Amino acid sequence: MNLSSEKIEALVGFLKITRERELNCNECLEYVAELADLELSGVKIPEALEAVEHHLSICAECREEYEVLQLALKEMDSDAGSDG
Amino acid sequence: MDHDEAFLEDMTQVSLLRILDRLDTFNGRSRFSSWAIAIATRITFNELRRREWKNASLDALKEDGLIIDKATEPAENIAGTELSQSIRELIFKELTLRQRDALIAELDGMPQGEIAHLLGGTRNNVYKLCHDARKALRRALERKGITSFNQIDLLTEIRQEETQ
Repeated sequence: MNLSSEKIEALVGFLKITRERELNCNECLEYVAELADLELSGVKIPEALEAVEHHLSICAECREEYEVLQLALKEMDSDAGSDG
Repeated sequence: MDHDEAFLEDMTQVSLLRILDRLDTFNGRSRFSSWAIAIATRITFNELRRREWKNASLDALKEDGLIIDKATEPAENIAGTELSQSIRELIFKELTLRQRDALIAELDGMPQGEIAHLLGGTRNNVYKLCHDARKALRRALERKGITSFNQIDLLTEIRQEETQ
């Protein structure tokens, strides 16, 4: 069994934030654009979207996609601003 | 057209088709462009991960020791604290083989889509397997008396001190 101390430590981190009910990746995708728009506009994130943030804290793939989405939206907004 | 341009064109076409197919699910709570880019990002990264891990197989992973084998004794290679040992033992006792395979592969950085490809199922199925595994481990730790995760913090600190 090749379960290193680093992996155990990572698992402990996940266990600490594990909830009985969590969004899955498809559910996260349904709400992630709304979260990205709100974060970009600096608006306080409503409690209803906290479950999306929680999923992003656990799911490395959704988090990676979210970070790329944020970068793309920032660039798009920047381009739109410079056009105007 | 070079390889990258062809890939981007393919992803653009697949994304457009998916967006059109899902138009009725757009709820208007975000900008349309944000919603569409989120879908395109999901599709493109799934494909990039698939290509990166295309040669992975369950057999190869087992040979590399990534997947826990049924016959492996949980006491092997244990050099950590009580908590580390408890978690390793609980992984064997409390989780199904599929849960163990999915959880360990995920901890090793394998994308869920690829785990799904190897185990059969979807990315959502793998997330559920790992989520069920985490819940089972949490409950088992609580049954062993670790009811406050502050104790996990403490034991993690002890382990870190031991390895220094």
